[in-house]
Amino acid sequence: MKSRFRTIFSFIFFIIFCLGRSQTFHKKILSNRAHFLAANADDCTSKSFKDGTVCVCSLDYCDEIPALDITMGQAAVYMSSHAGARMHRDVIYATDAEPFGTLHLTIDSSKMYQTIQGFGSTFSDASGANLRSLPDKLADTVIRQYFSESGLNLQFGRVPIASSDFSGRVYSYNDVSDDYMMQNFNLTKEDFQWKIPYIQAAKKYNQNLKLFGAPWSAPGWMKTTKAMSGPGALSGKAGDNYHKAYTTYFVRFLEEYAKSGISFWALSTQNQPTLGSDKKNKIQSTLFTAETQRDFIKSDLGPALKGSNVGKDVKVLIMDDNRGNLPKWADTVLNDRDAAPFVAGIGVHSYQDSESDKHLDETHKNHPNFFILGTEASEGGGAKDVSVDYGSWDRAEDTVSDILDDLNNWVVGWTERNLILDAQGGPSWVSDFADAPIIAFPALAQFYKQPMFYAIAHFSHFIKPGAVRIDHSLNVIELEVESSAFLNPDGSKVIVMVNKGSLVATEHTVVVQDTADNRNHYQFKLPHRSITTLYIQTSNF
Amino acid sequence: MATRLFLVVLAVCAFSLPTFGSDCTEKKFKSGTVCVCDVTKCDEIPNIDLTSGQAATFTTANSGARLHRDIVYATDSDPSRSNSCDYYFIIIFATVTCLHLTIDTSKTYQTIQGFGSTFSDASGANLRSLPDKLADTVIRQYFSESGLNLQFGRVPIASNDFSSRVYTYNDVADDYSMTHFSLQREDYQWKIPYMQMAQKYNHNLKFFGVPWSAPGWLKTTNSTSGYGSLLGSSQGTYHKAYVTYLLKFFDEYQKNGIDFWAMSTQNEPTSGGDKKTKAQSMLFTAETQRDFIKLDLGPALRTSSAAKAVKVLIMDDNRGNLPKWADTVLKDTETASYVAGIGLHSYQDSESDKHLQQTHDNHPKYFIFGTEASEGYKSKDSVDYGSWDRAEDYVEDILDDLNNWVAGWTERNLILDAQGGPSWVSDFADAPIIAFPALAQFYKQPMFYAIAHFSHFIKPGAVRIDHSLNVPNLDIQKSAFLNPDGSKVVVILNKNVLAPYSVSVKDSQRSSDHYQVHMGPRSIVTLYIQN
Repeated sequence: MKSRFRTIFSFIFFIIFCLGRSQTFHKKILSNRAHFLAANADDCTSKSFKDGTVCVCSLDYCDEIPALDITMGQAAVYMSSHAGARMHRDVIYATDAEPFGTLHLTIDSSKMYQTIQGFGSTFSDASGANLRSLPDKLADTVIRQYFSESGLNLQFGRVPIASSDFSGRVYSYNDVSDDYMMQNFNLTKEDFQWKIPYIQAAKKYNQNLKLFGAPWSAPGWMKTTKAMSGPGALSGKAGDNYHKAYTTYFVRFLEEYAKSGISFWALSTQNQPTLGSDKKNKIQSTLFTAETQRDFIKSDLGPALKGSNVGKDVKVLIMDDNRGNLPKWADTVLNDRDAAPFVAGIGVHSYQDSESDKHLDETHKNHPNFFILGTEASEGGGAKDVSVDYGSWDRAEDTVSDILDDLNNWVVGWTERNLILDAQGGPSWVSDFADAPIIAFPALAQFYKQPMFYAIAHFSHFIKPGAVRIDHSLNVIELEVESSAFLNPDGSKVIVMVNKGSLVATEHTVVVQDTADNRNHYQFKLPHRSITTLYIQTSNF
Repeated sequence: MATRLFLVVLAVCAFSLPTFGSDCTEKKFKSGTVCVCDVTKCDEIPNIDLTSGQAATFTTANSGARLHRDIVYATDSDPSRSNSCDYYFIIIFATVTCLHLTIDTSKTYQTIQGFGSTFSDASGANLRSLPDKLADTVIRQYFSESGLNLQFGRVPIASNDFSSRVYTYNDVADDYSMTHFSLQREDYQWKIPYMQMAQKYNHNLKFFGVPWSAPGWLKTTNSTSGYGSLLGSSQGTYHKAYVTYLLKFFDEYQKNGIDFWAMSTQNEPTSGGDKKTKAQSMLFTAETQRDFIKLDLGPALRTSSAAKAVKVLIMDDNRGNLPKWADTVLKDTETASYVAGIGLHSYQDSESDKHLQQTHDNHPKYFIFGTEASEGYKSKDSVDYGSWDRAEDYVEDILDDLNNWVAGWTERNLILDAQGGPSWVSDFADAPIIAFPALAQFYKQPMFYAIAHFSHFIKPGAVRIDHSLNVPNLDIQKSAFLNPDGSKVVVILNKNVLAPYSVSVKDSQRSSDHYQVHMGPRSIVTLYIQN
């Protein structure tokens, strides 16, 4: 009896299995066709290059992310691919029975990690110069694409304090030597023409936009080298004239921006402080070691901000440099009981993301009350790289890997190095050219959205500020697939997956199961060289 | 002896000090240096400023000089006999070689008509992306006598690969009388304003129009872009309609105050037979071009009021097609009567000079004119900032053409963007000037100075004269010209990456004068001898 039951059961299971297979096979053909169509049918006005495809935007037209437009319990997948799909949306329905899948991803919202604060980009001089080279309406489109909720929904704006490598020239806000009181402090035309107008435009699209300032260098006369560019540290030591003058310089910066109605959420103590000791370094920099940064914050910057009207609520970020410096840098600064109360978080750059995740894990373990925020990332900055690589899918993949690796290791946000660059990857007075998610083409009043733009969108558009990263695990180890999962404050869930497989045959059928909701399974295709975001609307049962 | 030592010191200085053209605001890149211009400042060519009998060298070098001017005094004696040349040999790196260049104004060749560039849509779009004053600077740098002194403006008739879209002046199918012919916003925004601006700087500027393709509906493929030829045959409906189209172009431009000196029958007619061609093109063989000119275009031009003085250029393609193409068209005497010259592109300049020599020998009354040249096409770096290689290529290209009967030379674009466009078909290329609207700047590439070494000094009406080196030398290339005012121009290129040269230039008609020209490695020198 029992065995007969088993035979019948096996037979039924076999039939279901076969049906499942054939259905999957059938779907595979359909879905391949869908992907092919997606390449052409999306709203992207595509232009093809050797390394991939960009989307062209003009005064008349710019592609938008399709609205979610799903009801409770439904889910949608958004897929972008090397083949040309850009945020291609498909509604999917949960199934009771577990469908066939080549990959099974289990998410567990009972296991929660860090809270995601959001994503951002940088109001560099280069970005402003390029925005200004476009017709006003098109510059507004760029800002809307980045900062509106229907676009990348960026939450952060990094603002260089005076000039950086992505400026047209080297300048500080006070080049008058020995003016310790900062009586000659002045914002420059770069602030008034290239930064403030676009920060204000971004605030119109996101009223909660959080700005953080970051200096590349103190005025040259305060430095050991008497030059803003190149290596060098602040002259003297914590608590002296130079250090007090420099904190006044920070406060004056906040005051001047406040006059334009712009207040800051945070300040980074120094962009890449380790650059300041590199004798080959040509760009603006100021050396801090973890020790001198600790002392500067403790004796000068922290108390000065707390004592100022404009700075009392401004958070302080430390490090703002690559992960290799962690956890040592954070330990040195934050183990000091007098320095730590002034600090809110740790800034991290992405240029050593291939190094071990332990740098981040240990930092979080040692300092769980301090957030780690990605403050700078870019592609194409290497001396041997093509600065702007039109349509590069490799760079979109790198960007996704980079963000996933950070978010899976306690990082709460991620910031791009420039909003928009020109076709050379600048301007940069020091020829530190790089790629950017948007490239300006003023001659035709156009801009190109690189695949990197969509790479960021796959996270930033869906993961809302306040979301938490939740546990996720794949049933098999698949080196070409990377993923992460998040629970939004409204209960919706977001899964981001990338398939870096270069062969068509590496397409996966992914089945997502939520441990909190055993009845529902979500099945979708993850084609080769593609990024998919699965968005599961809040369900109430 | 003291004089010799002095000369040695001078020579050492000339070789070892990389002097930037007084005014160049340099920006360095991997491949070399560009000069940056903005609204407040742009480097100019130093004035020739010589009195009768004096001479000057203008030097541009990979090491940094940009048209750096030095006065050169004639010496009575031949430096080789006075041994000073050996002195250089001993003192400087032991590598200086002395050469003797003899020019002979009694042996004259073709008349040089001048140099030019192209009012492409891409050029106009980039000019318009700059502040007006800076766009004016670009035009002044190219067309004023103190700048490149360009004499020719090539004007695409409707769209080409350096447009942002494919368009013609009449896309209404079967409108054979061209009632819907109309110029486009590209003409009004990107071409005409800058052509007029250029005319302000050169009142004698000569424009020549060039079609890339007839409207698609007149073609076998029904498509303006890609390969294909005109439908029908000579004097048929389609051919007549196309001629009406071309004449209307001259009518409409004349309404805007712009007259044309010439037209090319077709840009690269052989591309129209290449099925892989993506850009606008139209096939003519030498035979169909001959018949089209004889039966359609030629007679129609003569009856047109706007275009009756417009000269006809044939071929407008690479030298490999010569002399056969010219023979086919010009041996027909009726066709030949409509034709003034032969257009030549530079993309096969490594092929034998015989193509040009035989063409001249067969058709001495028809000028050969360089109608298109560019660098960076199909290259990994469309725009290669500061590339000296490309400047050198240009100089070689121009020298090779001018030494082989070519009467002028035309650049493909005035100014492109940092991508080397815009180009709807992504046919990106380099250009002598690259626009950077974000900072309201433009970069002058070394190629700009390469052209300047010829165009600023060789005046329209100059003749190429004989020139010869005492020993053959692969590093050194050169040519020589006699201007209408009697001044002489010698352009010399040193391609050697290490070795400097000392070239003693002697005019065989004035054998008492020798001009000592010192050339650093990788340098271009123009010697200008005032009459």
